[in-house]
Amino acid sequence: MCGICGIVNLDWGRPPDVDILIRMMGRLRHRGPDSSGYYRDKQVALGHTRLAIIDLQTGAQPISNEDDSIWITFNGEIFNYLELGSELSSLGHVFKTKSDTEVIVHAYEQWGTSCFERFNGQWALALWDSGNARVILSRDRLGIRPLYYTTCNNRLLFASEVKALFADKSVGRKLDPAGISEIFTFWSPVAPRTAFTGIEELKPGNFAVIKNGIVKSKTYWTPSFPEEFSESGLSEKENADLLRNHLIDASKLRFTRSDVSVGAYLSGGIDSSITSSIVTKYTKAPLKTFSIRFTDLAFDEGQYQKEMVKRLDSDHRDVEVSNRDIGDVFPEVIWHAERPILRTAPAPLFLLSRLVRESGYKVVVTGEGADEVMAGYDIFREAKVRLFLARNPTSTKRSKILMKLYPWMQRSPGKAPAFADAFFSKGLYPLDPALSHRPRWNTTSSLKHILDPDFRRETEKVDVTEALLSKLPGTFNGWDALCKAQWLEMVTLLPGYILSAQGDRMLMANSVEGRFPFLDCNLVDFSNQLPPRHKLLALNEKHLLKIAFNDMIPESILKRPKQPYRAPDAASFFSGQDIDWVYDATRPSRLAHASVFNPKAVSRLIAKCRQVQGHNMSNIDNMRIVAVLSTMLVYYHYIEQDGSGGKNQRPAQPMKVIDKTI
Amino acid sequence: MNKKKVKERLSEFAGICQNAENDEKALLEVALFVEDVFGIVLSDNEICEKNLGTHHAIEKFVFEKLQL
Repeated sequence: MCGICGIVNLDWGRPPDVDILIRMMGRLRHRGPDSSGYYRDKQVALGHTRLAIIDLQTGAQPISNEDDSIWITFNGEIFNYLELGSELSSLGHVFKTKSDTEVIVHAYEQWGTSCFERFNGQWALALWDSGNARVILSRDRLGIRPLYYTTCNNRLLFASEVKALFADKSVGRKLDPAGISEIFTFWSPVAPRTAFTGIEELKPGNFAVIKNGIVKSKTYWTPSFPEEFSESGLSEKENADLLRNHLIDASKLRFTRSDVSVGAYLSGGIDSSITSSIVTKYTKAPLKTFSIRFTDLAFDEGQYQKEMVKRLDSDHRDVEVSNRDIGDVFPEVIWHAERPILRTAPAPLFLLSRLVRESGYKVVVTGEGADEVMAGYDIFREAKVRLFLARNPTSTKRSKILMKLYPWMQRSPGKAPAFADAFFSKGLYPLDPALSHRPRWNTTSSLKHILDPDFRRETEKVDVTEALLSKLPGTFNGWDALCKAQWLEMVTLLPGYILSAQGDRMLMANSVEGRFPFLDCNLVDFSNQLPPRHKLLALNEKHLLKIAFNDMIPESILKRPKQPYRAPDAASFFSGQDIDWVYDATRPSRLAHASVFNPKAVSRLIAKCRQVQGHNMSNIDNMRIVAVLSTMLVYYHYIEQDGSGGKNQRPAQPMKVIDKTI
Repeated sequence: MNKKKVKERLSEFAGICQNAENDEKALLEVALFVEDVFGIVLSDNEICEKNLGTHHAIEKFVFEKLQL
């Protein structure tokens, strides 16, 4: 795992400025603290900061092919690099390193841009194909690794993080109202849009070709599902066996393809319990596990973590997180996240990756992606209930099914019909392609009421939901309702929040690489083709996963009620002594200067938070306060300040330099 | 859809659901499953123990609805 950046001249101007490149690399030092390097010629500069994981001796980047006509800077892992390397060797390619990076160069040489379809991994990369005078940017299928770019003064700049683009002072720094609108609707920006005007993110599953001053993107993979009722006819048992094999292969690849020790996150839920169990059962690797504990017991999963640790007999460490810890670390979390967020959940993960790093580890395997791929989220169950209600809107019986979905209703069953009407039936159109997500989007959009009126008008210039729905795949309407919901989740929340603000950024902030077996391309393609009932059977989530691994996971974890990963929100900022930065960030004069929020509305919200010390607040008020604080921190770090976070660092030494302009 | 396929799908469901006798919420989940997997829509009158209360009853009901 590493940081990448670069400058591409879009005309025949002066060679890329090496000082800017080195400043960009410095801003990515946390992604690559082991060493650094760059390549530069008259047209292109490629920068790299290295977190050394594979081929510690000779894997320094940038790396070239045999005749130095193709150069690469690469962030990520190609897990099937040994198999691809053997194939390429048999085709006559000569390797000078043992790294997966060099495999990419030869794969591109051999197969061109179709090489990306052969990679099983997580990557963001730039290839400089000097013979064809073109630069290729590429990103993995689901957006595990980030890649941003902008054009400025006839140059294209790219980097793993936006803060590196801002290292060039000529790049404009302004919040994009449309990007903010997406975050205040979908919880995340949707690539190519970001929170910043003029900064784009390469879409997952895409590569871009930059040639003759023109940037053209192409999709090489997108989530795809079978037509409804045309899924494979395999039985539940047969599919469970196949799933088990896929996940074992994916987990083994991610635990064993590394030249440094690999640890594992253990949340206490099914997903990480399975991947950790696979390690103990199918590899000889000693298992080191890491968990988050919360002092607020409403969020704590320690009981289940302890049970799994005992069963796995792993060497275990955990970090105990208090409300105040979250409040204290939040400004740094937002500097890393580079976008407004609506929950504090990334903050404990930042503290967890710090523990990993302090424990001497720099790679962890986690259960991320299982909820999207195996249908674990409540949103999928809720969508099924919405459809059930929509099939017979005049039914007097159906609304009571909500008590299966929300057990709290059993204490007040009289509320079920009213709740159903308010949350599930409002705006319910069975043919709505976003039937599953409409309630979440509508609820989240109400955050916009606290925006400054002028800024809000700017956000309304683009109807972000219609823009998203206008880009649905041609086959979308033929899919089962669950598959439609999975697609929406896989292109919005997964890359834009789960894998980035909560994933890559919180891991890389402490120089730790995350690996995600549930996002293995073979497993995802297999799962997407499953009959929907095998993933979500009636209201039983992750059905096939539970069957496939019921011999390896204790019943107490297999059958426990699903507890979504959450952290205290408003209570993190208002439950104890005042936090100075919260006061500073929400001063009326600062709010007025930023012109993003209505200062009076924010003052009322803050007063409400203070009155109850952030406790027992509504879901929407919790989101509101986190949205305000995170947006104002983004504004502070990236608009008022220069994006450096006050850390004007140099890239790590040693630095590998290949400069062909000299 | 033939009888064998119906039985196969009902057996998958049987693994996660006890009989729904005397349990209104369980009856509704059975109804949701039946509609979801067999593509049929039930009236309120059909959501009852007689049709959905036991595995045997569900099988008989689905056969009738699908005219198998």
